Amino acid sequence: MKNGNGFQFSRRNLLGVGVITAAAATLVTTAAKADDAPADISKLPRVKQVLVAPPMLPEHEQVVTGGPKIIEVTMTIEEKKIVIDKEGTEIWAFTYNGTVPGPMIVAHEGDYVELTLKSLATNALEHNIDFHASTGALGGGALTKILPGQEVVLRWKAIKPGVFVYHCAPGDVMIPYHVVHGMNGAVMVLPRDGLKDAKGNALKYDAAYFIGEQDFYIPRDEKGTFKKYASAGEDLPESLDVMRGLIPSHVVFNGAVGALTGDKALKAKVGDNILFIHAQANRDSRPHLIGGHGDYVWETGKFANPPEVGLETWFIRGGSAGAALYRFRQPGIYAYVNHNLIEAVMLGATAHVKVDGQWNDDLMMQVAKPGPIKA
Amino acid sequence: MLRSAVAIAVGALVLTWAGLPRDVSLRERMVPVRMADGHILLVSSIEVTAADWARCAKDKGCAHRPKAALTLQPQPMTGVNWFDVNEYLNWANARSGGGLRLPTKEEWRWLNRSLEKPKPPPLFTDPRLAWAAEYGQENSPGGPARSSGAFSTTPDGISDLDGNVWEWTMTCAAKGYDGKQLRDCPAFVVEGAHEAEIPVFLRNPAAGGCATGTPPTYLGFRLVSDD
Repeated sequence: MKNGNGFQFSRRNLLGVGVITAAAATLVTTAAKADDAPADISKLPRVKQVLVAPPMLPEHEQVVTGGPKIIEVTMTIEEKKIVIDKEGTEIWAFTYNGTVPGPMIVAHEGDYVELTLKSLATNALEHNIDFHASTGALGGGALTKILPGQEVVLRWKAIKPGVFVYHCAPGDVMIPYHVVHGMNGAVMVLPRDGLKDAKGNALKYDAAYFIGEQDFYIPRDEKGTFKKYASAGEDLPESLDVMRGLIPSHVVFNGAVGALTGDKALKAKVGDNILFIHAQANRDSRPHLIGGHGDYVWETGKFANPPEVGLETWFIRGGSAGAALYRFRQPGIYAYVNHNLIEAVMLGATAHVKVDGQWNDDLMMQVAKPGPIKA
Repeated sequence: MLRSAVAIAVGALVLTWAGLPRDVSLRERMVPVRMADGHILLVSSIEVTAADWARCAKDKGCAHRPKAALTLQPQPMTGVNWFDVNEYLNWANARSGGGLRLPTKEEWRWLNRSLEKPKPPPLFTDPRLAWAAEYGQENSPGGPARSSGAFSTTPDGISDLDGNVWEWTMTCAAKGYDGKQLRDCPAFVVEGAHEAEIPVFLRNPAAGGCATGTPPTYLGFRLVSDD
């Protein structure tokens, strides 16, 4: 089976057999500065973080109590067929823990994240994980390649505060292929004393939501209908052809058109400070909250930089995550979109926020209802 | 310009089929329904099908020829805007001898009366939030196209009113238009699992999302006749 780019499709390619690297977890013993000073791992407290499906975040402290710790997390890779729009278009997604995007991991600067990564025996492809928040070995990608039925353990130290993408990167064309099949997520590394504005004043959030933007490239048949496939990986040659054109068939939040609207809309109350964490592992985006703003925005997502204030739309570089904090001042429905409006409305990148509370006439009022034009 | 093109098309059709015997097949699926005021309306038991549309296209009565795969038999015709629908109506009336039209919004609702569900309480009661009050309450069936008749059938014998195809009505969404002519109405009411107002040019409502609310999944139509 060959595609238009001459790429040979076989189970051997899918599995990447021959480039498997055994994981080796060893203690760091050399160090110079504070952020790479070794800690006696055996003496650090260990806590298990229960990961949850996005848009929610795992339970966490904003300002940490106590010293650095080892945060143990487990992710299971599952290749599964998901429906990505109202018409029933399908993709065999590659998922961490069964969701697109994968779950958010939350740590504090100086903590260690210890991941047990498992791949279901029923999977067809080789997978791994590259944490942009980590240091070395291609973000851990070189140490985490696993075949179906295997598991691996990786520990990395969180030395850079911010929100960061993670994604699968098994090598060559498999890297973008896996990423545009949903295999990405995000990590939040908070400063130990929490978020701050430019003057150093503490910023708190009442709730945080993880919005993972995903571009999909679904092949079509000769009549223009989206194709369906019987198993994971079978779409590879045709997917690569669509991907090469760089025009996604779908751009969605949290895995499907409408995944964060209607009954699944995000919720807030007037007065709530909501932290929106927006990750895009592959492609540029530009979040905008219709009817609101970004009070404090870490556009590049890195908390050692002061946040910008009072923004209209912010830019998320492909391969990064950003964060925006907003206090809702009016009730009603807000649309959180990728403000390339073609992508928002026609390709799917729209979420809604349902906000309860009292309307403020001072901020806005309809002075006269629509009616005939007066002379 | 589009509107005059439609008028020209109508003229051409009338000339083409003048003198041909009346085609009764276009009325085969019509069933009589007693309306609220007691009069009888003939209503097609299913929406106009892709096969019906293919006949219109073959006769050069319908210029719009979508390329989408039609795998089901029969399958409702979808992806049609107000002008497409009126081309079909003109063709069908020239073919059958006339009298075919779209239902009004009120007629459609009467046909749907056995499927009406009680309205849930509004999301917001403050009149200043009326624009957001019905958010998330629309029942909006999605999924791929299904065969004609795959959804509910009412006691009157009318199928698919609650399906994933919304139906154009002849009721203008703006006040001051009678909806009986193409003239100037910018948007018409479409009926289905929830009511929506669709601009005359639109064939496929938003695929992704709207600023608020849920768009209809597919747009199709159903014929009725007073005689």
